[in-house]
Parts: sequence; C-alpha cells; structure tokens
Amino acid sequence: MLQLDSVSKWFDGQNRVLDQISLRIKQGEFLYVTGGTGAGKTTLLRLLATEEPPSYGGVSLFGFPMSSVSQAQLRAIRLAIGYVPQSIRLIPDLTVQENVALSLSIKNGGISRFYSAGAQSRQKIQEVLERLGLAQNKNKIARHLSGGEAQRVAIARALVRSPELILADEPTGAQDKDSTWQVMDLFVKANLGGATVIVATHDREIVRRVRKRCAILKGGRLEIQQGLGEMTCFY
Amino acid sequence: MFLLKLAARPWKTALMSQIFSAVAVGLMLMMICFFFWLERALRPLAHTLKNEQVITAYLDPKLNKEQETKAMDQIRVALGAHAENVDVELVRTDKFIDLVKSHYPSLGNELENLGAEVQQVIPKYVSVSGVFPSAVTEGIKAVTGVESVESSKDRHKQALNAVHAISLVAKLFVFGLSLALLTGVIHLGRTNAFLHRDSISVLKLWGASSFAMMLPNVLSGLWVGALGGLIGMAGWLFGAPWFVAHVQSLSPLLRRLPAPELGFAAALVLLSGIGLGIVAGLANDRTD
Repeated sequence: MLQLDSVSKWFDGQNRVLDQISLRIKQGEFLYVTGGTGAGKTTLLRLLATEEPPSYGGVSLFGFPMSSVSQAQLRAIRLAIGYVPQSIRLIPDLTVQENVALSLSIKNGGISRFYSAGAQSRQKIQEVLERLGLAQNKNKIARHLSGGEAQRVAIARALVRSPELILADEPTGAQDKDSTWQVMDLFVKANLGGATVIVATHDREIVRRVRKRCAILKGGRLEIQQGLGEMTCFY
Repeated sequence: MFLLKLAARPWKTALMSQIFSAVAVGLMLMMICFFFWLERALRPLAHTLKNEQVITAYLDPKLNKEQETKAMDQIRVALGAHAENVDVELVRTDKFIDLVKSHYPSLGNELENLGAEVQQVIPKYVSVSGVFPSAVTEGIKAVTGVESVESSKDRHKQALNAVHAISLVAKLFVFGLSLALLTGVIHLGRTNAFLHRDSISVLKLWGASSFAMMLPNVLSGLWVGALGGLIGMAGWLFGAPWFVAHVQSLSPLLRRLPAPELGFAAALVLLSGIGLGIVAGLANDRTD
C-alpha cells in the first residue's frame, strides 16, 4: 500500500535528512516511526503526506507512484489521508468546530459543502470532539487554544474524515497522560476499523504499552524495522 | 461561510492596509477616468482647431449675377461631404461698403464717391467659414470665376500645439496610473496571499480543489477592488462635474470640451475596481 524505495531527502543540496530509506507498509498496519531529535521522522511523514517530494528514490502511495501521478490522482490520494502535523497548523480564524468541519467538508467534496455541514456530518463532528474532550470548547477560536487543545483539534480534524491512512507526527507531544492514552485509543480504534496508522513518536511509554511494528531512524537512515511482538523499538 | 472567513483574514489582521489600498485604488481609478475623459474630449477640439478656417475666394469682377450663382453652387459642391458648420456668403461691393461704413463711416463714404471705379477697387468675394479638410482650398481654386483664394488655416497653430501637448500628458497619466494601479494591486494580492499561505497549505494537504484554494485570495482581492471601485465611482460622480467646469473655464477654446458621460463612466470605474481585485487574487494563486 505504501512503499518507499531508496528514498533520500536533502535540503539546500547538502543537508541530508533521509538517506536511502526503503520501507513497505501494508494496508491496515500500525507502524511507529521512532528516533531521536533530527533523525528524520517529520521529514519521512511529510513525504508520505505528499507535502514534500523526495530528492532521490520513489514513493508510492495506494499503488500510485508519486513521481507520475496526475493532479486529480494527487488530490484523491490527499483526500484519503488524515495528517496530524507536528506544527499542528490549525486555521487560526476558525473555531474548533469549523476547523474540524472544514476538513470533513473537503473530504465529502463540493464547494457548497463549505457553507453548511449536513446533520450526519454535524453528528460525526460532535462525536469526535467529545471523544477528544473538545466538546466544551467547540466554539472557541483556534488561536485562543492551548498547545494541548490545539493538538487534539488537529487529531480530530484528521480522524473525522475516516481516512484510509493516518499520519500522526508526535501527536501526544503536548498532551498530559490521560489525554495521551485517549488519543492512542482513538488511533488504535481507527486501525482496528481498517485504517493504516503511522505514528512518529519519541515517547517510549507509548511504544512500550501499545506494541506495534517499529521503524527506527538514526541520522536519516533506517536502522531497524522491528516486527510485531519484538521487545524493543528503542533507539 | 468557511471560505468567507478565510477570505476575511487580511481584513482582520491588516485592516488599515486593506482600507488604504481600497482608497488608493478608488482615487487612482478616478484620476484615470479624469485623464481619460480629458484626452478623449481634446480630440474633437484638436480636430476643430486644425481644420476650422475662413476661406476667402475672390471672384472675377466681370461675372454677372447668373455666373455668380453658378460659382457659389460650385464652391458649395467643392466643400465636400466632410465639411462641418459651414457658412457660405457672397460679399458684393455694396455689401462690403455697408460693412466698412458700420465701423468707419468716412472711409465708407469715400469709397461710395468713387462711382463706377469702385468695382475695380473693391473685390467681389465669397467668404466660406467652417471646418474643412485641407483639399477644399484647392477645390475652390479650380471653380470657374474664382481668381484667387486665401485661407486662415494656421491661425490656431499655437493653441493646437498646446492641445496636443496636454493630450499627450493626459495619455501618459492614464498609462502611468494604470501601471501603478495594477502593480499596487498585485503587490497587495501577494501580501494577502502570504497571509493566506498557511490556510491554503492546509487545504491543499486535505485535498481541496484548486477552485477552493484559489477563492480566499480572490475574494479578499475582490473586496479591496470593489470597495476601491465604489470610492472611485462616488468620486467621479461628485467630482467630475466640478472638475470639468473648472477645466472649461480655463479658456474660451476649452468651453467646447464635451461633457463626460457620468453614469457610464461611473459603472466602468466600479467594474474596473472589481476586475482589478479579481486579477490581483488570480495573479497570486499559489495553489500548485
């Protein structure tokens, strides 16, 4: 389903962030991408989210090689992805509910959906907000949210569209313990529902408790790909 | 509503910048309109000044009345189809003496006292005034019975040169202001696009259509353009009659300038503002 073949990424011609990464991720799989600061986790997720092209090598998503997809195919691929970026990137002028609704509206297609969400959509949005403890703050303007709240809105925004692929970059970085497990529970449930989930994290506690396959990055290189059930995913 | 909120971002974060830009758009559109009107209005005036003349065609003194009438008809024919505001008048000896007498009575009496000789002293002529093409003088020269022809063609040469200079300056103003306006609006669009950049990048990652990504910038540009167009339209509707009256009062020649078409020009100013706003938004579409 997702495939990286000898992918390298460098910036400014010199700064090599990813080096010859080859990785295959099957549909419905749950994968941790772990590694220290500057290991290349965020860049790897940005490549998978189609936000950055590789400098070398091939990335294939849902069977489409990204180097040769048309604009329409690229748009269809993006519609199937729920991306939680590390930088969160909420739209600051919209409320919590509107940020989430906009994501769902785009998924449902059609510019007219931008103006009003249907009853079914509203119920879905409410459900996701409640699960992430955001229902009380649904009318709060995004720029007034705390870091943890904003991160949960970014997660809600990704999950509400029931994506086939969830890419979460340090999704629990700004969460307290309770919220962290609430978030991980939602990712696991989405995975059980058939979604492929890729979580970039350096939180050893999460990796230890929710045992899944790991890809460990070190200095831009893929050091170890641990199989499910193996003891450590630590770097 | 989401898109409208996204489009309103520049108005929330940089309100004064949007308002000043709209005022600048309005003032510049109004000035372009004034100079455009001036340039267009000077064209017929220049045409009149260039071609307005009094032609004096001296007739053979021996022509009898019938021959005079024929000569007059031929002169009228020679004026052609493009002559405007034509006045053709035959001045005989007795009429000439009456004209002289009205201003210089003693000279008039002396001329009358010449008796039959007066026909030799005072020529018989046809005075033709109006706006004619250059070829008319030659045409009148060729009429049977016409001895010679004089024309006052170049009497407005100095004024005509001044009109051409004003017309050229007005054209330069229209061109320069249009260029400045377009550049300014595109720069504003770029600044607004920068404010939309984060939202657009998020929409793009979610798989929004190009149209949806383009709309916030186009809408915010459109609002500036429309507000500017309204300001320009109001300025033109209230300012144009005052401006035109003052220009016309500068010289008797300028009183001939035609009045501007207020309503049509005002609508054009508003539409230009809206169009400029849309162009600015489209020119800064960075959705790919």
